Amino acid sequence: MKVIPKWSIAVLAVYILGLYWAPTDGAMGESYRLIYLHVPFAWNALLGTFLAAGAAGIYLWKREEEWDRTAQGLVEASAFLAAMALATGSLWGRYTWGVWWTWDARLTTFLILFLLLAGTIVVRDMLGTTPRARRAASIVAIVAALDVPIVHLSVRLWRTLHQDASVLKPDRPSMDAEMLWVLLGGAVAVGWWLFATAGARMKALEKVTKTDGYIAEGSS
Amino acid sequence: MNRQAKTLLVAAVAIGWLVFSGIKEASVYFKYPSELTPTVLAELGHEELRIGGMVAGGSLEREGSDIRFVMVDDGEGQVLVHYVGIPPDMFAEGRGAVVEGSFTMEGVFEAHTLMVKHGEDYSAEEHPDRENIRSDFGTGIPDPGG
Repeated sequence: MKVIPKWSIAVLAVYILGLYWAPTDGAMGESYRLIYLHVPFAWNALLGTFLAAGAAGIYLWKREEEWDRTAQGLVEASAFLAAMALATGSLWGRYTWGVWWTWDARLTTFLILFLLLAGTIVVRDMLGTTPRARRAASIVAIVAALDVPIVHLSVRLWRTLHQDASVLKPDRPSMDAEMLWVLLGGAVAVGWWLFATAGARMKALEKVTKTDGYIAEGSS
Repeated sequence: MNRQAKTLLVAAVAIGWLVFSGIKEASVYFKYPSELTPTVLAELGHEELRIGGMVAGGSLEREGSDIRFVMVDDGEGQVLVHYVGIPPDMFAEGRGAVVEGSFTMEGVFEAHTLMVKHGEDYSAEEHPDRENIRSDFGTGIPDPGG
């Protein structure tokens, strides 16, 4: 029997707290609870992209395949989180703003982030397991990370429909303490998923490398 | 610095700049009522645009799905908006809104899309949305301090 992954218990625990323990928002009502899905997905997508770019940078510098596998694992997990952030955001937007989508700076820059992450995967897929593919994917991953600070600052730099940051800002968070704790718990739980998934993917890639014909550095 | 590193740097900077400037270009997501001076309005004609502001207190009139309200900001400007449809639950006087549409001959803004803009505060208390009490819906460029 397969063991239930530990992160799934953390995620479940946080979502039960988010649904039943965290208070209802006075202005938005129950729909605000989507924050416990949307924000942890978005934060961890940004974190994963940032770390993936770091690994990609080290790969380009050292040319050690392990770093490339790290970057690939992180990119794939981050792409999934970014897609989930877009999906939950769309649902929440429909509920509170009245629209599924709008081309404001936060939504647009985040969509660009997702497309760059997807692009990293596509580039690797198109070029196969060659050093060229690894280098190209590394470059796209680094470009994706350049979008991370733009995503974060977008609500400050431009007029947007999306509200400003509630937590990641210089002033104190504009949330009740209970809400904030659940949100931070959600961020940790989803972060756990990110690292567990990226790690599992790295291991799987290592196996593929050893069994399949893997074109090593310097042979192309 | 080898050739590859240079290529990477150039590509990264170029694409980063493109993304940034591309967004900057389309940066005025909405206009504030105060920015719609007679000159601007004359230039606009019946062109499509977005207007963002606050639903003025005491201005909201609803008859079924027929909605009329005045949109204001911290400045002098105000726009009479007409919208037919079902607004989101959060839509109310004193809250932020963004409308898409165009001006009619009579100078009424005929909106085909009505969106609620809410603040970043979350609290169990019946809190006034801070979007209203701080000067986010001011005039000109949003102040960097938020």
